[in-house]
Amino acid sequence: MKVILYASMSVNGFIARENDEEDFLSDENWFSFQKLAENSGCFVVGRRAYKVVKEKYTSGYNFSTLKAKPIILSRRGKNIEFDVARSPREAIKKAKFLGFKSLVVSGGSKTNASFLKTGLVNEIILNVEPFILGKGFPVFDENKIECQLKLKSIRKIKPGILQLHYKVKK
Amino acid sequence: MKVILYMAMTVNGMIARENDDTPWSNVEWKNYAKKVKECGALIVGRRTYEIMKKGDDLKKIGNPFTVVVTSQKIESNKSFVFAKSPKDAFEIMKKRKFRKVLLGGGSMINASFMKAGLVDEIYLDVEPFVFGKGIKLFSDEGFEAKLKLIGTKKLSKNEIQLHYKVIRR
Repeated sequence: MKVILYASMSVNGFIARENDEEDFLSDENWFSFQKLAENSGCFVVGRRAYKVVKEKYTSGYNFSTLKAKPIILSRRGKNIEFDVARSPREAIKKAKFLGFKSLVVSGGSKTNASFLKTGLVNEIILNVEPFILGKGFPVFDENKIECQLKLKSIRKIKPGILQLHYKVKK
Repeated sequence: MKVILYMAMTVNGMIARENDDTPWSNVEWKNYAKKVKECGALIVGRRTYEIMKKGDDLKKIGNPFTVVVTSQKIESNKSFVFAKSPKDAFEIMKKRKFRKVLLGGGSMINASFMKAGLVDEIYLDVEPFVFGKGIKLFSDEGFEAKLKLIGTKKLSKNEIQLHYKVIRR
């Protein structure tokens, strides 16, 4: 099972404002995520990120419009709409059970950090928006993990937006 | 006069480990030294200044004319001048007729220069690491800035340099 972590962020690593707004991120970032999620067929988001996106983007860019299977990471394990996993390991197990060969992890801060902590993330793809935010939600919630990466590629996906693709060294 | 922020950071925007460690490569140091020499002048915060002094780093980068921004009262000498604020540091450099000045951290001074709208360009050397915890590129402050990507460069197999212009501050 290949686990790919995807995030779009400011150059200094913020994925949202303190009030959850993502207005500094261009639409292109959503298309990147969409492509990745649909290619893989399965993605996982945290309960809170799922709720924020659902409430903020009632039309257009929404998880429900994706042709991919969502898994919601929730410690309480309650969600009537979608499959729920209580831990990153459970989410991966679930994706495997459903027959997927890869899984895209996409936020928020806590979900990203908890996946990285398990040591089961194989690749990290970061879309870097030409923007600086003084404070907000970081791509990885503060945690003790440290890992080394290998650069796979760097490309421009639109004037100004860079996509950095890394492999996680094991 | 142009103020250029130049920093090496992890992919998630950390410029050092919590204990100030920066496990970057020699390539990174060489690039940094080159940029400093190109400008001939450096602005740093007090903590960064002390860390650099301890590691004899200023000598390694060619002993540039350095302004240290600090709220503490410290006597200036020939090679170092102490400034009370970003604006102060800016004026000192301007008077000395430098055309380009490098801003070299740490996170508090970076944020206060950004907040004051004094940064023109940003170079970020992205190191192939994730630090879950560490010292951020900018300490938490209420500011934001739109950038324009000027270019990217591969420094080594796993290191890239991003070059931005600050367009709205």
